[in-house]
Amino acid sequence: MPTIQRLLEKCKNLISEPDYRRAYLLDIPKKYHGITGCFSNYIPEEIIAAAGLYPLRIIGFWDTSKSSQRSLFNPVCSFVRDVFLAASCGEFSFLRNIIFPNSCDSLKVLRQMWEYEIKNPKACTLLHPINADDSSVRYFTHQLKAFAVEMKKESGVDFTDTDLKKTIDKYNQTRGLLRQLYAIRKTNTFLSGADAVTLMTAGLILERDEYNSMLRQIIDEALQNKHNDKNLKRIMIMGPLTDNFALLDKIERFGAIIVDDDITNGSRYCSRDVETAGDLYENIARRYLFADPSPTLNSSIKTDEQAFRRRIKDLDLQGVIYINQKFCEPHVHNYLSKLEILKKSGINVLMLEIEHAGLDTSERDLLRIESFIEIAGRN
Amino acid sequence: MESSKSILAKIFAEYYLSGTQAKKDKQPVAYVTAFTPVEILRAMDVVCMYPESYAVVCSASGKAKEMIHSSGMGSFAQDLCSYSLIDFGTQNYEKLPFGGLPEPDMLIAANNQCSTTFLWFKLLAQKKNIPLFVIDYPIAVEAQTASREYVARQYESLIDFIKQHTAHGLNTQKLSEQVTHSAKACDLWLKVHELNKHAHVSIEAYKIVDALFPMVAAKGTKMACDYYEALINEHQHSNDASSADSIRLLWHGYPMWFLAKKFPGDFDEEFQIVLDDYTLWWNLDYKSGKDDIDKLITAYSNTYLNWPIYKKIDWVGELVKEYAIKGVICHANRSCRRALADIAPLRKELSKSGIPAVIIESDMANPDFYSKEQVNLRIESFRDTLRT
Repeated sequence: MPTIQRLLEKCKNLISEPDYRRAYLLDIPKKYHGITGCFSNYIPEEIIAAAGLYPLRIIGFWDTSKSSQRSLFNPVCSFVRDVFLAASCGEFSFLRNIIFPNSCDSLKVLRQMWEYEIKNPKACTLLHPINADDSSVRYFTHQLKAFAVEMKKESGVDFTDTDLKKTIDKYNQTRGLLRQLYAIRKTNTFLSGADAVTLMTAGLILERDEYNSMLRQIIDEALQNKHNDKNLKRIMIMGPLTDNFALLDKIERFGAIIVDDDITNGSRYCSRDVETAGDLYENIARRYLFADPSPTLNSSIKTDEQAFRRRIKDLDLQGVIYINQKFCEPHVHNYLSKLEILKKSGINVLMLEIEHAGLDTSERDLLRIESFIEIAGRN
Repeated sequence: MESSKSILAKIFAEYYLSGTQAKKDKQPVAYVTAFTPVEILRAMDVVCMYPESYAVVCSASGKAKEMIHSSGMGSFAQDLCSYSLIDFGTQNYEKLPFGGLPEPDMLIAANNQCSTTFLWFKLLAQKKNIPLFVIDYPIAVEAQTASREYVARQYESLIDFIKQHTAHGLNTQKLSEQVTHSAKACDLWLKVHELNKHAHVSIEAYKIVDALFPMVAAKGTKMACDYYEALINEHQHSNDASSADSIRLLWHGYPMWFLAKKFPGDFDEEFQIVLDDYTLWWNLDYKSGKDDIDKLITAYSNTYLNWPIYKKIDWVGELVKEYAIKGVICHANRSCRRALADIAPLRKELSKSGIPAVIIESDMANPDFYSKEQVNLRIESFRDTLRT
């Protein structure tokens, strides 16, 4: 099997196969003092890693069949419901602790249920602001310093600013490599969109040095193997966490290439670096508050609109597929907000609503995707 | 003394007329969310309108279904808050109760009740191309000085934002009056509820729900205080002798605004809902703080929906004891994700203390999610449990 296929196979298994993922995590280098689970893009992995803990994003699929818990009420989203059931089966008991963000109401429900029902591993919340301004940076800097103290207590590692700078450098490298990959994908179809998102998502699980090395290998291969199939329709995907690669693969099999994304486990993760001069905590606060915003943040409407218009113009898109998880309220609002802009720009939009663990795409959705790809770009 | 009914009619009329008058006088109008510190806005001569409260009026007048349909949200109507859907529906609906709300000049949202409100207002700001200010309240703010300072800085920015868009300054004397009236109204509001602490029910719970409007829309006014004083005066000596032997129930969460008596089920002499804790969510602490702004920080940071889980459970547990409650009906309101968090834990904790609880799944304003037969069946079987 060629190297790139082998690497992608590993990425797919890490996301889709709970046993494979568990085995991988049990085998991580002993230099770590434990694994810290986290949700959302607003938990700074740099600080967790500086404390000698292994930051692990809670994504993928789990076996929830053994849970005796009643599921959370609708309209809590299916991702949160799955995590809750998985947690009640002890799927996360190997974690040292788990960090919740100040995010959507579904995650806030999960946070409260965790405190009441799950308890193990113990949870804490990082209160990041929802506004992005100087006052918020000040508050978030304070919260990050308190968070660092918590992480130090957790691991027993009293890290210094020099140690923190090292992990910032490492995560900046990841972000830089991922941005390079995104830039390549705009004109080089060597890597399919489904594979790119798989690679991107696995990075939220993989050990950082291993992941950075993997990215370098793939970028080298992509640069040496330039493809640009002009017959493929240029599509962008948008939405929350999107780890249903089978669906992305099906989209591309209908004659499309996903050239970019605005998803949680995609471009939003790698936009903007953390500055390394000055107060590192303030720099982290700035990076997280001013990177490409999630719809759970109250970013500036005008700035967002301008940036989005510029982005879709540069990409020469023929269509956008918005893949939302049923009941994900921030993304319904984001979809409604972006729809007008896309329509005015003459770009066709397809909205798909899926369940988190619903790996099978319905016949109806497949038909909608097929006819969407067929007409995409005809405006 | 003027009757409570007459004062309420005046409050209603004044609220809706103030909006129309403001547009004529070119006075700035802001749409605000339920737990916005309107005392600041009113002390800057901004007329405040509550789309959530208006959605309640639309639902109570039986127009919710049509208006949600008019919102054009299609299948998303299953996912979103019914207040926001009704509000979006007002854009395309002609026969609006009271002629609708006046067009806003600005929007002020806060996330101390849920995250929906700022998403909804953000979309509205984009559609109407008007300025939006969002106040971010960290959860469990009381424990942290940094969080209080953060909210204080946001209040300063809010004042600057209003100055920038209206050229109005903050009248500190007016602010002080507003805060004093809000604090007094809360004291009186609590007393209204406490009328039902005794064995005899003095005021039916649905009537307390009906009396909520001034707590929301006339916050910080003397008229709200006058209304609650009149209401207490009228009910403090009236008690329903037939209720003395009733099994006392607590309704947990949002009422169902589209029902005439706000709660489902036919409650009779045997069972009586004596309290809906939702109406007490408005009973904020306006007294703790070194100055008026600080008092507002305390009040609006500590809203029920912003509390941690155990604080919510303990609070409801205390109400159960204080009001001698024998059973609890929990409304799992699909419009409010944040309010869903405590339903299952609360039921479990109540059960540990020997208080049975039943969960009713429905909605606060959208009757499409209300199945009368199913709900009645569930309540009937709950009554059987309580009898045994």
